[in-house]
Amino acid sequence: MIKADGKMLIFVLADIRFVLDLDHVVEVLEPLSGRLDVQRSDLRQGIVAALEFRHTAIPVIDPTLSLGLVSDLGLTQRSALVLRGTEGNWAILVDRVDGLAPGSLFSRAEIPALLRAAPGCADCQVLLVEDAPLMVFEPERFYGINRAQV
Amino acid sequence: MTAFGLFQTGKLDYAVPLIHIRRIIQGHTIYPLPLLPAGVDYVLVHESTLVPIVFFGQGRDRLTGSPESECFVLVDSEYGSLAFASQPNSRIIADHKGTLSVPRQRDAPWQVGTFYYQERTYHILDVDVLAMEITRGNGSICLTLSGSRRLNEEEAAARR
Repeated sequence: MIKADGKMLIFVLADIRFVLDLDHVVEVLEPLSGRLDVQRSDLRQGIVAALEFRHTAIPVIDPTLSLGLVSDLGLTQRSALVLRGTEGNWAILVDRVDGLAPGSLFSRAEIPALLRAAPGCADCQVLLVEDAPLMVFEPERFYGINRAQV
Repeated sequence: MTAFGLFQTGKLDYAVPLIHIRRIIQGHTIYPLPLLPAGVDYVLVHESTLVPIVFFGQGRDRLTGSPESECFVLVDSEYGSLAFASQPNSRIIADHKGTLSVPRQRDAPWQVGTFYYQERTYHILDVDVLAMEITRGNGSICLTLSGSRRLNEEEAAARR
């Protein structure tokens, strides 16, 4: 749900722009060098590392894995968005953060049946800013007990 | 009387019945998106609607060079709009100006025949079948020449 009076965070993954409701975001972390522990990964759950955040190790998800994308950046060159979840904080890796924008700036893109038929895209949302599409990032699809299949 | 929109993409020529063509546009920016159906890597935005782009016989590498200069033929299918990347020499020709040929067996499910016009052979596309193949996730839809050739070879091998 996009709130017109809310703020949205725009980030980039593999040259694709995504938008995320700022209410989900606890903090943006960059750079990551020295803060990631890749030994503590659980790829079955999509966890690629643990991140030291406020004296706690939190799980780090790389959304490119489930979106079929490839980032040109190494793990430590990327930024992390720490998100709040029902099971505590967790983080996603992104290539860069482009900034904030008011929800009123976006309009909803129509997605034709042709694209809705693609696996994982049945209920995905795309917003437009000046006719440029931004994929709505829905955290619950990537991590947590209610994680849906992307 | 019917007419065809004729367009060229890569080294091949295509024809689409005019009734399916919504418009021909140029200078649209194209965008990659995740989770697109197999065979589609990019979309354009037309009237606030995402339109998947089909690149016949063209690789992704070619695209990234000059996407702005591409011309796109927007067509309406039963499953929504599609855009074909084409060279900027598209035109509309009445069917009686050329010769129609409908083969007994189609080379590909979405190629319903050929239209000969001024010594060129245009493959007539059935956009509904093409769109249906995309919705079915037919990655071997062969929107590239090599894929099309491979499918034909596979079919020929199966017949043998």
